[in-house]
Amino acid sequence: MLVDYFVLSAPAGQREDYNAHIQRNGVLERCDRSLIDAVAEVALTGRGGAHFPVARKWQPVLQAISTAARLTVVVNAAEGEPSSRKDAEIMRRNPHLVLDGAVALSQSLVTGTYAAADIVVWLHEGDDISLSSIQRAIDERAGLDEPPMRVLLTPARYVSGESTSVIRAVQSERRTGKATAFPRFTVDPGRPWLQDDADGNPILVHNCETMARIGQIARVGALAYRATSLVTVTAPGGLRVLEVGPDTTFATLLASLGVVTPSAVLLGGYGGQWVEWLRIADLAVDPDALRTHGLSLGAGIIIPLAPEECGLQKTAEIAAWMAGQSAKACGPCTFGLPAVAELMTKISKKAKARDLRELHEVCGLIPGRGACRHPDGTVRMVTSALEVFAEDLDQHTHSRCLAHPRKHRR
Amino acid sequence: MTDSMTVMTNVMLRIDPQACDGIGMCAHLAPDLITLDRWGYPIIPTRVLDVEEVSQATKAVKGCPKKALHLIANK
Repeated sequence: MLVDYFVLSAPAGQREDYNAHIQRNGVLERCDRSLIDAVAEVALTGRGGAHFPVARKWQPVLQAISTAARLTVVVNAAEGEPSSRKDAEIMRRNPHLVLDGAVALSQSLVTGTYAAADIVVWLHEGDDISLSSIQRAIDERAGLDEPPMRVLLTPARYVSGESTSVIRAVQSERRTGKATAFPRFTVDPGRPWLQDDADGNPILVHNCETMARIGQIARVGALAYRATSLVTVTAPGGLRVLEVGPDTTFATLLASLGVVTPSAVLLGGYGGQWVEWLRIADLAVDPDALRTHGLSLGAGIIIPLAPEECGLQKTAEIAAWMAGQSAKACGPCTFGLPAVAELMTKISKKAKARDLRELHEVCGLIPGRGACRHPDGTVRMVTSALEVFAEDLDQHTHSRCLAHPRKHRR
Repeated sequence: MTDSMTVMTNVMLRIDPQACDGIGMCAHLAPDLITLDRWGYPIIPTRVLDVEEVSQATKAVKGCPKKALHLIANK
C-alpha cells in the first residue's frame, strides 16, 4: 500500500484539536512500564535520523531515575534541513499525538519513583505555524493530570536540532533560567541522548515523529503497530510529505509524485548518502529493509537528482551550505567543512587529481572529532558522491559533465 | 599529588572539541601520542593507552591551557 497512516491521522492541511484527536484516536490511558516492552517489541528506532533502538535509550534513564528528582522529556521538533518537513507536518496536523508520546513516556519511566517529570518541546524560532499549533495543544490539555509542558525556541540553524545542542540548552535553562543554544557543557558522545545535569537529573530527547509513534504505541499496543515511514520528497512542485506503508518501493513512491526517474537519490538528506537509482529503485522505503542493504533512511529525506542537475555540482552546493551551518565551536568542523566545500566546488568544475587527493585526505581528518555529528554527516555525503558519481567524475577530469554534455566547460 | 603516583590503567584520552583552541601544547608535551592536523588541532589515539604511555598523556592533560584534554576511564 502506498499511502498508509499510523502517525498522520489528520487529513492534509487540517489540524486535529484535542476533541477531534480523542474522537479519532481515543483517550490515552495512564501508562506504566509495559510501554517499554511494547516499544521494544516493535523495535522502534529513532526517526531523527540515527535509528537508534528507542527502548535501549531508556535503560540508562531507568537507572538514573531511581535516585533522580526530575526527568525532563524533550520533543525535538527543530527540523534543521531545508529538504525536510515531516516533523513540521506532524506538529501542524497531529500535535496531540506528539504530546501523548511525551506524556506516556514520562508516566512509564517515572512509575514507582518519587521523581517528577516535565516536558519540553524544542522548536526553531520562526516556525510560527508549528509553534501556534503546539502551544494551542498545550493549552487545550491544561486541565489534564499531566506533567507541565513548555516550548523552548532555538535559533533556526541546522545544528540546533542535534540532540547534543538540545541537551545543552535544557541544562543551561535549568541553571540560568535562559536557554542558550550552545553553552559550554561537555556531553558524553557515547550517550548524547542522556546527560545527567549537575543534579544528576536525566534529560531524554526524542525526535517529534518518534514521540508521536510512542504515543500511538501507548494507545494501541504492539500488536496494532504499523511500520509506516514518514518521508519528505523533493518533488517538482516542492517538498511533499507522505506516510507510506513498508512495502512501498522507491520506484512506486517517486512515480506517484510525478518525479522523473533520477540517476541517483540523496537518501537521508544533506548529512546522508548518495545512492545509485538502480540500486535503490526496487527497495522498500523502510528503515529495516534499507538497513539490510547497508543503507539508512535517516530522517526520511529523499532528494532525487533531477535530470538537468550535475550530482557533483549539487554536492558542492550542499557541502557549502553545510559548512555555513557549522556552529564554529570545534576546529575540525570550523576549518574542515569550508575546505571540503571549496575542494568539492573546484572538482565540480574541473576534477584535478591533486584536488581529489586533497579532498580524500581532508575528509579523513574530520569524522568523529566534533562535539556533534554535523561534520561527520557532511563528509559522508561528499564521499558517497565521489563513489556514486565516479563516472561523471571521470568526465569532469576532462572538463566535461554528464548532465551538461554539450556545454563546454573551462 | 596522589593521582600521578597511582598507576592508571585502562584509560583513554578524550578531547572536549569545543574547549580546544588548537594551541598545540599537547603535541609538544606528548609527541609520541598526539599529532596536529593541518589546522593545528590535535589527533589523539582512540584506543586504551598502554601503561607506559599514561605519564606522557598526563603531562599533556595538565599542560593544556584550555583544559580541553582529559584522561577518562575506558567504559
